[in-house]
Formats: sequence, C-alpha cells, structure tokens
Amino acid sequence: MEEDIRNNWKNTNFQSLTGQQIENIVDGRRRTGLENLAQRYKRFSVISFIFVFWSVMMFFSDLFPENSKPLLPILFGAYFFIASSIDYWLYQGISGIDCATMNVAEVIRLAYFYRKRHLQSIILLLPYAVTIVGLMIYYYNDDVNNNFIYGVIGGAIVGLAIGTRQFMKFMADYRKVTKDY
Amino acid sequence: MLTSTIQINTRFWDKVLKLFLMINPTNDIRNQERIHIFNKILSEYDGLVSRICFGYSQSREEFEDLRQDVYVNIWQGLRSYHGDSCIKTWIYRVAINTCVSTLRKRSSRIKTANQITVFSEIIDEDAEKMVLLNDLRESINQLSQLDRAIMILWLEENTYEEISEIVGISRHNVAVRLHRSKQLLKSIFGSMK
Repeated sequence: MEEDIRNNWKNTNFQSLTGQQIENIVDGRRRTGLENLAQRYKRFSVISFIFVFWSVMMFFSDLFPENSKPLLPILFGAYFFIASSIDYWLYQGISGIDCATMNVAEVIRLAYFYRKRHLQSIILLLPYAVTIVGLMIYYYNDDVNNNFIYGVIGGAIVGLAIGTRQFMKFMADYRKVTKDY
Repeated sequence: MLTSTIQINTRFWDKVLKLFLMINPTNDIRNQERIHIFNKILSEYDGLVSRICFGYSQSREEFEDLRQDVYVNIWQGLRSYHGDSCIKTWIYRVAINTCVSTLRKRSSRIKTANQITVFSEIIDEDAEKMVLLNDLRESINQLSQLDRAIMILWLEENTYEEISEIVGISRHNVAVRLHRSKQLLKSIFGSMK
C-alpha cells in the first residue's frame, strides 16, 4: 500500500507555470508572502512611530483637555512607541528568515515564534487601547459637548465589535499555532 | 518630447549598465549562469516543486501562490547558492521552507465544496487518481508542520539521511516521527476509503 501511495504521488502531472508568471518572478515584480508580511510590519512600525510625534504635539495643543495632561499624551505616546517597537522587532525577525539557507525545523520554529509573539502583542495592547479610550471619555466628560462623547462611545462600540471579532479569530489562530508546532 | 526623454533615459541606463559590466564583468557571467540554472530547475524539477506546494495547499489559489513564492525564493536564493549541497536537496529545502513559513489563515480562505474539481484544473490526471491524491493531500494536511514536511519528503522517496539533512533533525527523530505519522495516516486514509 505504501509503495502504491508513493508511486501515485511521484507520478502526478501538474501544469507548468505560464510565461507571464516566470517573467514576473525573474523581473522581481512578484514578492513572496513572507516578504509582504515583513513589509506590512515595517509600514505599521513607521506609521506608529509617526504617531509618537503626534502624541508629543498633542501635549502642546488644545485638543486634549488641560486636566488630562500630561497623562493622556504620555499614554498615547507610550502606546504608539510600544506598537512601533514590536512591529519593528517583528519586521526584523521575519526578514531574517532565509528559506534558501536555513533548515526546515529552524524555519518552522522561527515562523511559529514570531506568529505567537504577534498574537501575544495584540493580547497585550488591546486592554491598553481600551483603557485609553475609557480615559478619553472620562477626561472629555467635563470639557466638551455631549455629541463628542456620543461619537467616542459610538466609535468605541463599533471598535469593540470589530475588535472582538478579530480577537476571536486571533485566538483561534493562536490555539492553532500552539497546537500545530 | 516624452519619447526623446525616454530614449535619453534608456541610453543613459545602457551606459550605466555597460560601465558596471566593465568594472565587474563576472557579474554578467554569473547572471547568465543564474538564468541557465533557473531554466534547468523549471524544466527538470517543476514536478517536485508542484507536488510539495500541492501537499501544503487547501485551494487552487493557494497552490498557485505557493508555487510562485517557491520560485521567487529559488530565483533569489540562486545568488547565494554555491553548490554546497546537491541542487535537488536545496530545492526541497527552499520549497518546504517557503510553504511552512507562509502560515496562512485557513479560516479566511475560500473553502471550495469540490476540491477535486478545483485541483483537476491544474493536475492532468484521471478522476480516480484525483480522488486518491485529494484524500492523500487532506490526510497530510492534518499532520503538524514538521511531520507534514517529513511525510512529503518520504513520499518523494528520500532516504532517512536525506530527510534528516533537509529538515535539520536527527535520523532517529525522523524515523520516530515518520512511524507515528504513517500510523495516523493509515487510520485517516483507511477511514476515508
């Protein structure tokens, strides 16, 4: 039976790549899934880092209520700094995976390691984000009109609904990552 | 105006390229060599690459993506490949590494009701063999990443030593894992029939 299975496996005929697909590969127009993932982490890292400066500028602007300073800008800044650092670290790690030279066990270990860290960072940052939104509602309560508060609450509810859905997906992914390796 | 600008630009880059090749003539030879090896891989080892990608795919789109990703890594990897290991072993390594490093979110992928029909668009085999291959692929997909790699390499008729070299674990470990996977595969495969 084993030999039959192996023979069937080895004698399977697949259709070849198209000329266009080969051209895209050789011209460097196509990027791998891993390269795209690394670029995504890099992009998020840069965006989060820009928001660190935005948080500093917020400290001097009138947008934050006076009684929320310096706590809220510091919390915002710290949040974006942590997010940027994590994303940069993930970008460095993912870029370091070399499919051409590393052995399979090493690549699996690294891929799962970074995937796990990615999910753990979300678990860490999600309560942080919820806390910031809560504090914003608290501080803005005295300062601005009700419409603004309703806007923040509405945004928070929608964000929570989307976030919970994403979180459930992440948890399913996390369980798979820990179970699969 | 635009045409002349393009012509000037093209001439300019041609000159830069010629200058670069004058300074470093081996680069051109190396590039020719790289294209030659890549063409050889495409003609001789496409079946091998396709089978591995098939073993890791859930859908036709996933298969196409993985196969192209493998070739991108092979093309890029050829720059640093100096023939330290046998080309076939190296291709196995690159192909499996590409598949295992792309941890896709299965749930977000489109699950097709009839996988056999979907894969028959890329596999030139009769219906009976398609059913067998699909059962095998689904059974392999239930194994862990490392066990799946070992099982696919075993199906490819590699020896335990070769599998151990590609995967990077001891020969004994390969034997133990393979034995366990075969038992599991027999039970899954048996219940499918």
